[in-house]
Parts: sequence; structure tokens; C-alpha cells
Amino acid sequence: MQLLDQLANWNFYLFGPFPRGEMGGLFLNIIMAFLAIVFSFVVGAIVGYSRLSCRMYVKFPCFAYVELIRSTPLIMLIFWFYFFLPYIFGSGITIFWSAVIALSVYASAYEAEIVRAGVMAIPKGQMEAALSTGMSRYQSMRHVILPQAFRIMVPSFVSFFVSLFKDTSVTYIIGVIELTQAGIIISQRQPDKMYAAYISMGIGFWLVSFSMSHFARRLEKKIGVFDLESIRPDACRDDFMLLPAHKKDKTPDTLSTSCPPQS
Amino acid sequence: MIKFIAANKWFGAIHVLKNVNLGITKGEVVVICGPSGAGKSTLLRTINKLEPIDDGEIIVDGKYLSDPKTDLTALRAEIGMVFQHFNLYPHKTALKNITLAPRKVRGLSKSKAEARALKLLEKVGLSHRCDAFPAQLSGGEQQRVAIARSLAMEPKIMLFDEPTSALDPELINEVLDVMTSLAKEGMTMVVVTHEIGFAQKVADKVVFMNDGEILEIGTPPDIFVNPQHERTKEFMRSVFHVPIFDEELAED
Amino acid sequence: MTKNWRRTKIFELNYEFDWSIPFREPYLGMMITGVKVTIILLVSTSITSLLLGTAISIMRISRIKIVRMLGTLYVEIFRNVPGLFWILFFYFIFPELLPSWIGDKLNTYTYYPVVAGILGLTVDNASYVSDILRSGRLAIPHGQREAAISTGLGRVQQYFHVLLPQMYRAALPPLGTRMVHNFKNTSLCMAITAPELTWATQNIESLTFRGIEATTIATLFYIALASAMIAVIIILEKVLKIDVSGISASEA
Repeated sequence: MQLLDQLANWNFYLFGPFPRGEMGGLFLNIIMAFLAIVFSFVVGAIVGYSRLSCRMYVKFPCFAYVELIRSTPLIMLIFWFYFFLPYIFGSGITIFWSAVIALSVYASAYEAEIVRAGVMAIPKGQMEAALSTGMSRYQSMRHVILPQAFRIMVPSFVSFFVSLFKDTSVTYIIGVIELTQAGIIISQRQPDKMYAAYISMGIGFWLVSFSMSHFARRLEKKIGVFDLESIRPDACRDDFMLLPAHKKDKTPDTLSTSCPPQS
Repeated sequence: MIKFIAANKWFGAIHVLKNVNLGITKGEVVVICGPSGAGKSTLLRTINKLEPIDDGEIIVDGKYLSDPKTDLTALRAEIGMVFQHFNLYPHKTALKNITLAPRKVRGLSKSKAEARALKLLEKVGLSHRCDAFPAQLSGGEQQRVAIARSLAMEPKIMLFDEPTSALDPELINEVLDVMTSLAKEGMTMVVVTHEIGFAQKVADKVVFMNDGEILEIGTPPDIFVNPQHERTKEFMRSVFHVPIFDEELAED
Repeated sequence: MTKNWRRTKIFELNYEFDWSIPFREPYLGMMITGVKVTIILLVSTSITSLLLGTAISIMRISRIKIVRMLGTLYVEIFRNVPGLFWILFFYFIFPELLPSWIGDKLNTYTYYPVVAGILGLTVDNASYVSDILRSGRLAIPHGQREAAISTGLGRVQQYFHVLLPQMYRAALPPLGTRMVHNFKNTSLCMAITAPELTWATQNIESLTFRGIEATTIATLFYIALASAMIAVIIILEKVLKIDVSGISASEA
């Protein structure tokens, strides 16, 4: 009897005020994480790829962007966008979109690192083999390098999605009614259901996170784990760039990776 | 066909190619040998400009490599290269490895490309493995597929960078057989290898390199049996342990 | 009233920047307390989570099955739930779970938010730390343990002199990243009103409606400290000669 009572708010935890209000709850966490990854993918991929360039004026902005965002707490980013976006877009922007944009920017930095690690893992010989059969750089990247890089990146992306999903809980601070906020609201309005609220919160996050990371682990077993955690492998890969660096002896189209000697 | 004129290359402060002068005519099979670090692979890789040279000229098929107007991509399609570590595309089957370049560069249709690929696979003795992924093939099989992949572009020159160095001893011969038949068909080949037996049988010219410079060029008997330079003699003696020079010593 | 402010218009922002605010009392005091509390959180949670994480990691390789299971259970539970949840849990729920004489004392303890923050962050970070240490341990060659056994070291001695040092060395890069992440997570404690830096900036914002200046300074502080931590880790890697070339391209 009491147990059923405790379960009374399950749809609030899952879906928030929907259908009487906007979508919220656990569902919203998943949606925010998903949108953030999708929106940030293009920017993240470009930044990550460009960071491999040997040209300082390309490499440094990408490096600065990634490091700046990775050094800032997510809460800070959320507050920044929460403050600034209304000035840019007018007061119509909802907290949901402020949160999603902040999460996208946050995600783009991490995705840049994933893309960079994936492309770096391809041995130099693959590009050499492709080029020596007469394919152009673009063709080699498209048919040989990038397909391999994507296969490598997928497990990292999935585990990043899990991590991002957990991080969406932070958005409650600006008022987004996602699972954490739902639990807090219930525990304040109905203090007798406080334990149920926290248990639901915990179980909600745990179930989604556990199943996704289980999936990620199976993928990792198939493809091989990639250590994304390394801080600074800083080699540049001129052989993967579409516009290779020009060097003093005017030999523009070569595979020499001898730009900075620590390649 | 290939001509090196006073080629020099530096890796930072290290002088890896010292004033190399070499000519290779059409249909010739040239073997480059020498101790490790002599610059043999580097020399080979300058031919299709995987490595640029810093000084001097290289002329391939009448085209100057340092000329910015030379279409390097088109030139590379005429030069095939086989690598020490095969460098097959792991995400494609053997057949697709071979058909990729002809379809994308020469614009062949899928059926024509596959027909050509199957013929080449038969030539290297692997037509029954056309759908295998590189991970499922042995080292020797992978290298043979790699050779077929380079032949698919119908190149004028074939470059081999230590093709058998990464193979188990039993698998070396299958690759050498393919290379030998290729030589008999009249292909211009430049081979960097330690397989002296192959060189003695097949090479028209042997180039001995040491420390970035060419010390001796000659026919196989000249280099292997009767080397002139001291370093060449030392190298051959340590590689062979063959009593070729014992008569010389006995006479002293 | 000091005439210290400038009217700035950016993108038609109708926002009056007043850069003196974060430096004026009482706001400066809030910021400084914020920095102090953040550093307290950082140092204490780094130490405790490292200890707890090591303990869990050792539990997971225990010979006793129950101990192993407990360790794995801990990691599975605590890794899959966000850190924020644990911070909220320790502040709101934990005192209720304890007998009322302890619970009430905790609830009324002025610094309990910080303590709850430390507990929550430790518990969350330790699960990641133990996972990282585990992969660090797997990276140690098996021969190390065999060598230790064969020289007669007891099990405990093995751990201390051979296993742990190598485990930490191998795991240093990802461990470092995790510690930086932990530092960023200290900002989560603002949710339970621990007076750390982010809370201070939001407090200033709600009091003066000029949050951007304070937030800028706080962001710069976070970036600076995070970069300092990363720099320390890079130096440590160089000093201990840890090779981070796991992702660098090397020829197949």
C-alpha cells in the first residue's frame, strides 16, 4: 500500500509535467544529451580534424577552443549561456535551448578530442598506400582513412554519450525540469515521498547509464578500446591534411611528416 | 626511365642521401642493398615523392619531380609501390582493396574493375581468397594481394620496399616467385631487399648503398662475387659467410 | 558613489559593465571565500578519492570472492549515477538515514554543505579512479608479479613495492585528467549552497544583477587552475618518463 503510494509520481520522473506542461523528466535528459551530440558533431569533427594540421594558425585556435572549454566546469558554461543568450536572441529563448546550446558547446570540445584520437590512430602507411596507387588526397581520406577512423571512434562516442547523459543532470540549476529537478520538486512538495524521489532519481539515471555503457563495452570489445584520456599527444599529421603545408623548398605535394620534428 | 641527378636529402641535421646519381632504364630490375640505415628505403620513396629531396633532381618517365607543374597524382598512378608492412586497407576485402583505385582514379566500372582484379588475384595465386579481409590472410597472402593492388593500376614502374622483411621465412618464397615472374614479363622494378638469392637470379643491376651514398653499382656477379669497395666486401662477408673470398685469403 | 563604471554596448547589449563589483566588499569577500572553499574541496577530495579509489581497486583483485563482488558492485552503482546526485544525496538524505542524534547535528552544522560536498565528490570520483587504476594495473606486464613472487616477496610487500608504484605510473595520464575533471565538479557543490566559487558568482548575480563580471573572473580562475594542474601532470609525465604515445601514429 505504502509502496504503491511511493510509486505514484513515476510519470513525473519519466516525463515531467507532460502532458499538462512541457516534456521533462528522464526523457528530457536523454533528449538533451542526444541533441547536444548531434548539434556539436559537425563543429567537433572539424575542430578535431583541424587540430591535426601542422600549420600553427590552424592548430592553435582549435587547440585553444578545446582547452578553454575542457577547462571550464559545465555549470559555468550553462550559466554563461543562460546569461548571454537572451541578449543575443531576445528574451524568447527558453531555458531548454540555453541548456542544449551550452551542452552542445561542451560536447563539441570532447568530440573534437575523440575525432582527433580516431584519426591519429590510423597508421601513416595507409595514406601512403592510397596515394601511391594514384588516388588524390581527398579520395584517400574519403575511402581509406575516414572509414577506418569512424569505426574506431564509435565506441568512444557511445561512452561519451553516457557521460553527457549523466552531465545533463546539471541543467536543473537553471530550472530545466529534468529528472533531478523532478526529484527535488517532489521531495520538497511531498516530503513523505522524499526517499522515493531520490530512489527514483538514482534508478532512473542508473538504468539508462548502465544499459548504454554495457552497449559501449560490447562495442569496445569488438573494436578495441581507445585511450581518450591521454592529455597531450601533440603530433601533427600533415599527411592527412587536404591542404598540406608548403615548405621552403617548394615541394608542395609530399607526404613528409617532418614539419615539427616530434611527429 | 628513372634518373637521379645529384640528389641530396636531410632529415634535420642528418644527411640521409648524399649526392646520389643513378639511372634506371625501362625494363630493368634494380636491387638496392646495404646495411640498415643506409638510406635505401628513403631513396626508393623519393621516386614517387613520398619523401621529397632537398637538392638535386629526380626525373621519372620524363617528368621532373621538383617541377610544381608535374601532376604528382597522375604520376603516382603510373608507379606502383609495395610496402614492407603491406598496408592493405583493413576495412575492405581483398577484392575491394584491389578495385578501389582503378574505380576511383581510372573510372573503371565495377564489373570491369572486378574482372581485372580477379585476373590479378589469379596471377598471384589467390583467386580463391577474393572475399577475405586482410586480417584473415597470412602475411604472404597479404603481400601478394598488395602486389596485385599495385598492379591493378597497370603501372610502368614497380617499387618494392623490403617486401619480404616482415614475413615468416616459409612465406617469403611465394612472394619472391610473384616478383620473379613480374620481372620476366619485363616490368621496370626497383627493389630494396636483403634477399640476395632473388637478386642474383633476377636483378639486372645491383646498387650497394652505405650511409646515404651509393658505393658500388654493378651486375650481380660483380657485386656479390667480386666487390671492389672495402665496405661492400665487409658487408658481403658478414651477410654470406660464404667461402667466396677464402681463395683470396688462401693465396696470401 | 564612485564613478567607476563604463557603459559598454556589445551586440546591442543593454548591459552596463561594472568591473569594480567583484573587487568591492562584500563581494570580494564572497569571491575569496569561494576560491578558498573550492581549493579546500579540490585538495580534500583529490586525496580522499585517491585513497578510496585505490582501496576499491585493491578490493577488486582480492582473493575473497565477496570482497571482489563488493568492489565491483560499488563501481557499478557509483559510476552510473551522476555526481550531482551523490552530492544532493549526502546533503539531504544522508543525515536522515543516520540515527537522529547524529543526523540533527549534521543538519545544523554550518559547514555541512562543504562536508556533504566532499563526501559526494569523493564517492563519485573514487569509482572512476578505481577503474583507471584497474586499467593501469592491467598494463603492467604479468612478468612483474612473477618476478616479485620469485624473489620471495610476501603478498602485501608485493603490492606496496611493485604493484602500486607501477599501477600509478601507468595510470598517471588518465588519472590526471580525472583529477582535473574532479576539480571542475567541485562547482556542483553550489547546488547544496556550499560557498564555493560558482556559488559566490551566482550569489553576486542575484544581489547585484551584474553577474557577468564575476562569472568572467571565476571562469578565468577555473581555466587557470585547470591549466596549472594539466601542466603539473605533463611535467610529472616527463620526469617519470611515462610514454603517452598510445595514440600517436606509428607505422603498422
